[in-house]
Amino acid sequence: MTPPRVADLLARPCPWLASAGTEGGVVVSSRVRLARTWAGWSFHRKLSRARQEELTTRLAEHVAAVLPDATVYTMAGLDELERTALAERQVVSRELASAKRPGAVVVEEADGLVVSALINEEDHLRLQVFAPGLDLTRPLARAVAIDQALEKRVAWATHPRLGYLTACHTNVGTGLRASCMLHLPALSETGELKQVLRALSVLHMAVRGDHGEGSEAAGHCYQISNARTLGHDEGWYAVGIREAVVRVVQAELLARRQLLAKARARLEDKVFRAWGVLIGARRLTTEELATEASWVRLGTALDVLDQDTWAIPTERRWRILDQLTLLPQPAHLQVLAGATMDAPLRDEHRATIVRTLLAGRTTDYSGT
Amino acid sequence: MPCPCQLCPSPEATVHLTEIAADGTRQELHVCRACMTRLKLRPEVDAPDLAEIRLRAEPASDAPADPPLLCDACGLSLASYVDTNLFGCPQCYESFDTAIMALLERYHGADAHQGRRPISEGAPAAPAPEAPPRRPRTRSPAARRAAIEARLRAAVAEERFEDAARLRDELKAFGEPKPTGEPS
Repeated sequence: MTPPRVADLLARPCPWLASAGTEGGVVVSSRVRLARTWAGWSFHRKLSRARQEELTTRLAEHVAAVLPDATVYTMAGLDELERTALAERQVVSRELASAKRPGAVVVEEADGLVVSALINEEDHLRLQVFAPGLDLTRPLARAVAIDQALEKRVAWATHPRLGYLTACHTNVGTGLRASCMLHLPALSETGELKQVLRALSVLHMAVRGDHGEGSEAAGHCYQISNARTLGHDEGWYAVGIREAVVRVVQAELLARRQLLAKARARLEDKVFRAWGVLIGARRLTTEELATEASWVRLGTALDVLDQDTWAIPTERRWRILDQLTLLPQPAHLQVLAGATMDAPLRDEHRATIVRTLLAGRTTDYSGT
Repeated sequence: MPCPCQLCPSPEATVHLTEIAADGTRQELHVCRACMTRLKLRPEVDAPDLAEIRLRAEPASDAPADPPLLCDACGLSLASYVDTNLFGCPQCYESFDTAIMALLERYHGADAHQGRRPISEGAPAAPAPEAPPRRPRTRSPAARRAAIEARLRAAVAEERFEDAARLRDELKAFGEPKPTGEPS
């Protein structure tokens, strides 16, 4: 059987990015993750390579059986660029993408949700479900439904008092991590972000860069998630995150209004300079793109960049803004172009993709 | 006036760590320079919680020289877990139960699961467990006693006297005398 092509997945629009700019595009996406351990098996650090391969194959078969329309990618069947591209798309963790051990990911895109089941990650199974915008309800329901289907085939390791057992004590109990990715440029600009983040940490919520643990916040994007997993049920954690996110969104929208009222000229200058860079630059680094695209996104949400500038309907603007966060990523652009590029060539190619997207000619740049 | 290190017999602690919990309660830990180096503590970069530091410090304490606490099933040492925060297998939770429970309670603010559980009826049996090299059962009564003593010392240092009383009762159940050097 021919292994699935990562390029086919990358060329498709990413369903969890299709937030269409609701609520100013502050909440980019939501995710629910369940961590599960197969009873009777050690975690990878105490498992021989042969046993890891066996576990990966068998668990992937079980997951594929309950997700018949999903695609199974084995880590061994992917080259480094393809693995990195899957990590950029967040269907694989950076940890699993860079690991040399056996592993697999099962990906399903349906009903506006993306399911990705990571096998032989830190835990045997990391079942993730993504949705666009602020929506933890559907991902949680989907994750639980898949988990219940899997429980008929696989016995998970549990403890009478501690619930689901995981490789790290920080996930034990529900094994649930509910998270939302937020774009917070105004709170960053006004300096109020630190205060907000401190309040979240008191509420036992973790704030990280947009690629999860250990990642930096690129383009003012932050992921907010529950830090604790033991002591309450799954819905309680999801509702807690939702309530916290709603408050952060309100704070961000207020900060945006304050920026407009008190520093409009400075804001417009930043937004239009960023627009100028993106539509004119012949070379763009990933960091530069993240920074400038963040200002363009803010300018679009506040209608500073209006119809006169964009010259395309609002919904397409947000499609393009979402694509800007993904397609020009280093591995994405190389896999889609079918070529390996050094950094200067990538920067040139990235600038071309960005100009093409912003010219409104396409929202699905395939890199050819 | 210098205060003593709380992790070793040194009379002078040079670093004073303060942890403020969500409910506003403060915990302090005074540590000497040697222990900071030995435990690779860099509070300005990465501050682990105080309970974790106390756990890490255990090997250097004046506790009896018991064999290291190992998981009965996979052989992972408790020290390795404390270093990496990663268990070797699900059985590690049982093997390290006494030693890790304080860590779990402190991290989660709870000690019992309240969420959903698997529909175990109808689930087929787990695959044949892998056969790790058989290791001698190392969780001897002495090792378990040492782990309880460690928790007791932490409880006393943190003035959690209800926990300390419960742990003291657990120690009595071993039929052993109160550990020496324990504050009365």
